Amino acid sequence: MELLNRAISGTMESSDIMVEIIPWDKDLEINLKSDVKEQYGKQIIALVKAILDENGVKKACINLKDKGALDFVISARVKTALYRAARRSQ
Amino acid sequence: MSKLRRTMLYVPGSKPSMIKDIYIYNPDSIMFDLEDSVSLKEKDSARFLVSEALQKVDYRGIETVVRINGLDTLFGMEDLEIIVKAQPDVIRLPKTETAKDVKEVEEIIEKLEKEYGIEVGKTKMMAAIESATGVMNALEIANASDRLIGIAIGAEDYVTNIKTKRTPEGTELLFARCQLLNAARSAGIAALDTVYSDVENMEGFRNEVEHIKGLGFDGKSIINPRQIDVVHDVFTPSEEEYEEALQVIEAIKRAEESGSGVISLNGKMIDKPIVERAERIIELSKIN
Amino acid sequence: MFDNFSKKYIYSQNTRGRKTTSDFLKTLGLSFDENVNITINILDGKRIIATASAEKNLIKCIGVDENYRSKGLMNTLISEIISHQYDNNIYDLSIITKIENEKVIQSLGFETICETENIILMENNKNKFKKYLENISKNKVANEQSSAIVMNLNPITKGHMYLIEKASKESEQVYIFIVSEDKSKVPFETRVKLAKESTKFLKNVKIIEGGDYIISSKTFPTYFSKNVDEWINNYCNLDLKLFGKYIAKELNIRKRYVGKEPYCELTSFYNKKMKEILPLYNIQVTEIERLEKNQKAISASLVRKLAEEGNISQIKELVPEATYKYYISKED
Repeated sequence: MELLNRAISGTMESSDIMVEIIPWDKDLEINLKSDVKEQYGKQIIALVKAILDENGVKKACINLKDKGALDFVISARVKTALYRAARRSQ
Repeated sequence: MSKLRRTMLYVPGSKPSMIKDIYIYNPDSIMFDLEDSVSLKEKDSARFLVSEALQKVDYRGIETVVRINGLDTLFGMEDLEIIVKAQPDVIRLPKTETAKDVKEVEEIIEKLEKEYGIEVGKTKMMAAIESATGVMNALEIANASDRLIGIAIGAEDYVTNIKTKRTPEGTELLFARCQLLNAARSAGIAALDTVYSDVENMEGFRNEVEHIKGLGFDGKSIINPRQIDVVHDVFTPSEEEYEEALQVIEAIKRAEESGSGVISLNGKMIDKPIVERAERIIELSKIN
Repeated sequence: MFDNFSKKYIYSQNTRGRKTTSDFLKTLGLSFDENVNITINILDGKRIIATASAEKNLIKCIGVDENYRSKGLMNTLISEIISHQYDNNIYDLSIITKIENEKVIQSLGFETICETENIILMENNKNKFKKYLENISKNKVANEQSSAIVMNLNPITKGHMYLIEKASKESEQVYIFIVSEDKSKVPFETRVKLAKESTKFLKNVKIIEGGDYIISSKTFPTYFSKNVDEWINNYCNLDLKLFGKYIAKELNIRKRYVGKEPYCELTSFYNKKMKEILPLYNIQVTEIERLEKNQKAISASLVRKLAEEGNISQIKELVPEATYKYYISKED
């Protein structure tokens, strides 16, 4: 998937996660802010990485602000951000 | 007995916190909305949320319905592409006006089912009728597809379309409700009533539920879990109805035992519709 | 969870919406800033229960009704603003808020850049301020102690020149920070150009763009609306601390020159605060009497007024040549 713009999805409400995708020239970097970073950080990042791999995204900076989102929410928000980043800007 | 659809609980597809917990209220159906309750900005994110939820969250066997945006909007097509893949039980069309509206969507669903390797015909449909034209075409809509399991009336848009307002008595909806109900029965599918927005007014709500049950409806759309119990209660048969139904069942047993071809109760002949009704009452009573 | 709250977007033209927002903020002891271009309100039925606004990348006027606290409405509002500004390609956001909101805003991904007694400046991109300071330091001419003047120069007048020349005579190096905010009649680039032209002959004077952290709407949200109230005091503290503690260091500024303010209540209040606060950071404040012409202090507002009236000839004796030439060329 070719990323044309930076994009953001999700909210910082409880049970949600805010996902920001910024295409850049450097390698993939994933930054996670979460209250449960210690217990679930690895899992969250692995899930995000898997979706990025599936979509062939290699050169981007991903900023995650987690508020206790379940896996299905994380997946949805990442997919939404990718969807938005792949579109031309308004 | 056909599927119970007394309560269809609306959930905005854009709210993760609601989507993940909604099954706890135990409605007969859950409707994930991608249409009116989702802002334009969030149409895409709601689509993904609902799709992921359908695939990953266990809804404990509760029927899952997704209200997509109309094909005449920017979003309808993509909604179908993403949602059909996630395999909800039913896809609900908004603002249906003609049989063609139904057939158009059905074609796309079939194409997608084939593409995704889903058993063709598995995805059911439901049509919401929200305009005068739709009401007048209710019969052709109800018969438009084998996938159609029910039709519903959407009062807010409908009353705007016919240029009036909603009232507690609901006279302005009488024609539409009856037309819809008859079309549904003729086609052998479910008839569902519209939402009641004043969540605080439980008495008004109950009155409306009793009214539409009286008209023959199978159930109602719900926007707040507090409304569920009221509907289930109203749809629960009374002691008297239950007793009568039991008597009918016993009459059937007697007829079978005596080898008689005719079932009678209190000197009157019992025919198929009455039997079906009695069986349904027994089932409904058991649920509660 | 099934709360039936609704969201409302209010843009600049919606006067009624802004008025009800302002009324709501008043009940919380806050004031509405007319400079915002987007306001997002959350309503319970018809009543506003929470609000947040933004002026480009500054989020302000945030308030939540007491009875609706701990419903995560702040999270909803800030998320919504972030998303809205993102759609307008504004990614780096700042918030000026009461100090008691620090923890909540932190949990929304913001970090404190500068803290004062009552209010704090927070940003969601901590590199932004860092980069700003780096850019400031790039202007350093030499290591000696230097002086600074912060001016709008809208446009540069003989009154300004008087102050600048005095500072130039008394200092090793002078840095002039031109306020970047383009709420001035004369566009920013022009103000910079005229300033550079007019001070060319002063070898130890350098013109710098003030940027986001010098009397801009970020550090002085109500400066441009000229109403003195309690929040002004807070904003003065913030602006002066940013200058004194962080910005001045980059250029080894030990003195700040300012012209006495006879007309504007706000500016004279600000100058008073300057004399209280900057010495705490080892910066001496020198207030100079204004240059007068016919017993009247030469002010840029006078020049602008004359220009508006078409009295270009009267402007000639009030401004340096570059400015006069500018107004002549505008006339054509």
